[in-house]
Amino acid sequence: MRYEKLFISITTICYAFYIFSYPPSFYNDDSLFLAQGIDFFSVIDFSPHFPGYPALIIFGKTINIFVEDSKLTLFILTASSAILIPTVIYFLVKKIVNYEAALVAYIISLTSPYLINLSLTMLSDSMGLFFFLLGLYCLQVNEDKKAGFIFAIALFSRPSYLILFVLGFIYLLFYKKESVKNILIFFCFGIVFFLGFIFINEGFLYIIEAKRFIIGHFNLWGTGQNSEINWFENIFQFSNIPYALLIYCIFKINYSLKLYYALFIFYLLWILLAQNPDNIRHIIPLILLSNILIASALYSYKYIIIPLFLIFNLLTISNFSQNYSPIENIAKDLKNEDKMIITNRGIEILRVLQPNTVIDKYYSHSTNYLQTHNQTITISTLKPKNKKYKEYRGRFLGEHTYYLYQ
Amino acid sequence: MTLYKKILIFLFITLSSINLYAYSYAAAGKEPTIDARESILKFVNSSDFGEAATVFEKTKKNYTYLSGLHDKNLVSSLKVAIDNKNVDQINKWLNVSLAAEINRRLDGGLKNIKVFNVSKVMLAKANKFFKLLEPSLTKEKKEDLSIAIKGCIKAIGNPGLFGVGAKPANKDNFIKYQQKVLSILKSL
Repeated sequence: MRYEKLFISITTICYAFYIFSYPPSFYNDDSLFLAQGIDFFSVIDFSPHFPGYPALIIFGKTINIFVEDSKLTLFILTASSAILIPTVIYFLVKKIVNYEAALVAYIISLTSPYLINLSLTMLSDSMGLFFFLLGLYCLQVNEDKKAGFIFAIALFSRPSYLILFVLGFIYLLFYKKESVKNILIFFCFGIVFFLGFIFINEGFLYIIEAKRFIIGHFNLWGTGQNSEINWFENIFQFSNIPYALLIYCIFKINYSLKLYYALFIFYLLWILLAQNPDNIRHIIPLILLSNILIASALYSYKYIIIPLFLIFNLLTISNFSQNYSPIENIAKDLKNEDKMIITNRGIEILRVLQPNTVIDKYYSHSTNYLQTHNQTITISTLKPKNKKYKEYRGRFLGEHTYYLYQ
Repeated sequence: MTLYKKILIFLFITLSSINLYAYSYAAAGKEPTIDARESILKFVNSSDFGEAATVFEKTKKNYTYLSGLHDKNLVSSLKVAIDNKNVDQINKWLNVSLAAEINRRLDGGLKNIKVFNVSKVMLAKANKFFKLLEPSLTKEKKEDLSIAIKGCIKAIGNPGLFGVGAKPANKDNFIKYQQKVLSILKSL
């Protein structure tokens, strides 16, 4: 037992050293908005964007008292959350199944290329998942009051995981009625605290912004994406081949994991129906749930499972060698300050980092007009045809390759 | 299955459906002036000035309103530019329509300076129109306009947290920066 904990401590620290060897680098505009929100919280000014991520902002503001650099603070907070996820998975699976399954789940999660995605994107996903899994662990050890408040932190770190909470709540009502009261009371304390933070800062501006953002912007930005990726490609790709083992989990259902089966099925439907396949990171909760299910069903074949995952995980990770995000690498390379930049990726990052005028490609007709009347350069994730271009590769699985061309 | 459980399942499905639309990225909102500008430029880019004139007629009411606010020549000059198939002039007067929107929002910000929430929304919208106008401005005008709009935003103050860190609105400063903005916008 002591050796397992030593192994987990050492490997987690090694992984932390590996992640913090990367410089903090903005993945997309959302990560910039979160960093700006740590400095000055104002949802209407996209600082950060709706829904405001109050738990992340409060944690960030606290860390930033010592760090005094919101970009670095955001990196420390989100990367640390990701780094600790495999450890929480270990304790969770150990409690539900046994230590062997827990160790398998830990190893295949720690070496997952998706964990690097969570660690480096500087977005709310890692914090949301860390606290959600921690809440599940507290639920498992009957620490209901702690679980309630931790679930509130998770929800207000990453509100778009709402479906996981709704499903978890239904599960409690059916199978753990005795815990509902305490969980709900402390969850409501959290809701009051975080909503209070938002409304004290924003007042009814928050409602105005919520309405504008939800009604007006979902379709607008969605149509501006220049990607041809679909969920089929995202799911059936090389790095996910070991997850074919999930089929075995269907035939060997462990009923003590019924909540995790339900979360897996509903979250799979959720991403297929409602999430943008352009962002492969939406698949990550599914990957972590799969790790739990596969490890729990197949831990007795650990000498096959672990090497299999290690081979696929490490081969995938070895494809990436960049330190900075493509948009920051492009910003470093841009020499001509007079040329206008046309893009629908990292618009605000470029506006912060570059003196050039940046044109939002969403407004396609005014963009076309400006393109024909000015000297421009274009940034896209679609490889241009019949044009000379420079390629900027991503740092990890799910970070797009960007193309820069005249 | 009891009615209680059925209600829960219904609530679950409903909540999930609502959240389908709860995730998005940053973009400026739907605005008639922006939409009309995009539509007119779409046809101008393909030299279909007949269709551009049709779009103009459909959106004339909005341009008439903006003319009254900012530049009385906006409607007539935009119409003449489209009729004459003068691409540069069409673009110029469409930019004036964006300038009129900035003017309008700053005016709204000043009128509501004592109501922080309303004033802030107005200035946030002014800033979004500025970002659309920005590519058509010279470097100097772009910088000056950016500083002046930020000056207006600062001038509305901040109610603070329960009054802690509150900064009162400064109407004189607002007017000073608003005049700077207007002098740049009028020179377009």
